[in-house]
Amino acid sequence: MRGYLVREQDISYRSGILFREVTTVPYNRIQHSEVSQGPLGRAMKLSTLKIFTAGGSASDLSIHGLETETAERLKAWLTEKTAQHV
Amino acid sequence: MSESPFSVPRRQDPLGVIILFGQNLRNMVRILAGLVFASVYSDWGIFSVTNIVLFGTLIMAVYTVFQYLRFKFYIAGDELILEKGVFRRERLSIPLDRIQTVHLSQNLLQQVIQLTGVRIDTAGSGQEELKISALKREDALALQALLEGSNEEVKNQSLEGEVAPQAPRKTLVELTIPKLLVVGLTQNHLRSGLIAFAVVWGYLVQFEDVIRDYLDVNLDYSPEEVEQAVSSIEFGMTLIAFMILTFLAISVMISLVRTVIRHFGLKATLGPKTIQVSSGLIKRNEFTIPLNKIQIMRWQGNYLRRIPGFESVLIRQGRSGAQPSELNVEIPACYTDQTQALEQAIYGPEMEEPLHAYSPHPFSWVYMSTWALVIGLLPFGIAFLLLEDWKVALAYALYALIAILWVRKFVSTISLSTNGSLIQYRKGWLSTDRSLIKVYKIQSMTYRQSIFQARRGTAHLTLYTAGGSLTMRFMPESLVKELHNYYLYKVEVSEESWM
Repeated sequence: MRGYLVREQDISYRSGILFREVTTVPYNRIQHSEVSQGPLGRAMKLSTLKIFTAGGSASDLSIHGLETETAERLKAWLTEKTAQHV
Repeated sequence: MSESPFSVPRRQDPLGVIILFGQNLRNMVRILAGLVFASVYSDWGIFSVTNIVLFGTLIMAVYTVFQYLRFKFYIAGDELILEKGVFRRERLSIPLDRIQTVHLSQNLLQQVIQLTGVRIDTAGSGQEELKISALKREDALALQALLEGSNEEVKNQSLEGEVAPQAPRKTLVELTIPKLLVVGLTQNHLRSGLIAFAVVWGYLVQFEDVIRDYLDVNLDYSPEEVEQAVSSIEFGMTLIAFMILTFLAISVMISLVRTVIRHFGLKATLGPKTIQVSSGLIKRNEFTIPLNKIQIMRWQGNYLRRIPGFESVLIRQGRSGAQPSELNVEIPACYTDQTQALEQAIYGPEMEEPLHAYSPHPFSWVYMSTWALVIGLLPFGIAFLLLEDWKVALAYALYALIAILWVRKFVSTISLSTNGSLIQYRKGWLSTDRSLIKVYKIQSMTYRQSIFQARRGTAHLTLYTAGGSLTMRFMPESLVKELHNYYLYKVEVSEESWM
């Protein structure tokens, strides 16, 4: 049920089976993004992409279990998109 | 800018040493208290408490002097620079355009020495708290004016080199003592009581051992003793009634004290571009909030406040990381005309177009009352098992009826009004709550739905702003989807600065 959606102006993340959730962050509201990896993730070559907006952690969006390469590519894309709005 | 008194590195006011010393002392109190406790039980010879305290205070005094000398601040170009640290030197630079709010405050010591503290908050992720603790009032005001450079009205002043008198400001709310007492008496007493209970409980748990040792009493009673004491139902009922009354009385007292400490001498004024709120008995806080930086406005009323006919206004600004509620500004005692003045000043343009009102999904009361009934099962179930009396089932039925009626009434008060640039969400029956958000202040949005909700076509929508979030529950699914998309579009094409 999990998945992410990259559109021209925003990024969405969907999760949950009993409780479904879709969170969307427009690119012009992203403060910064980061790719992180735990020990298990390193072994499996998986990373988490975290996207931060202003105003605390509740509004942040994290995409877990991305292949590291994909995560880095996505982050680069977000950085480029975010830069256009500053 | 070159003539600005802040362009060269400068220290705080010399008397600031005292303020810093006071702050250090306060931080040390816990450790000192621990030492005193420890020394009571042991004989340390020349390391007597008095000696340790004296020596510690002396070291701290010397440290404070260095701390004062090391602390320098200035504005270089577009950045505010802070240099500080005795052992580990730090140099913080904050781009001026990241500064969200600058607020002034005076604690008791600062009031006595007549110095003002300046606190600077930035938006975005976890910046360190920036504080300049001891400035003369005129310097603090000048610095505040300079830092809030994005505010036109202030900018013009600093260009002209004068700071003090603002453009015509209108007094919005001024709390006199009788009014202050009315505000205190109409607080949500239940909440005050519960907070007090939690705090006292927290301390008791923390110092339980110490208290036990000190009092040398046995706080544990044997089950037989307890049973004996509570055996007569009459005694039990009297005890419960007494406890409830005591709880209520204490709650009201606490509400009053909290209100007086927090809102004493409150004055709120409204200028063309800013709102200023100053209040506080022991610590005086002074907020200047640029209207365009307000993220959420909330009006809260309750059944007690309906008698004098006013509401509280909460102003939510952008905040960095998980900051304490300190930055949430509250103006109690806002009457209808003051509310209108505020709405007009902040949301005037957005309100020109009429708002369309939407109600929650017609089925939503079923979900909410199901919750109430399920939660009620637990205490009533336990009571039934203990008493083995069928009257408990009757009581549960009565509870269920009241709960359902209550929820239906509550649901009927929920409404979402929007016109595409403004969102108003209203809910509450005994205590009312109304939030206003400009659509372009939205940072992100979450659409939530459980599988049960999916069957009936209802969903929740949460709007996140830099100053907190708003969740609209059990709205029709089609509406939520439409709003989700529409607001995203609005945010994505918006050129306006949300901060």
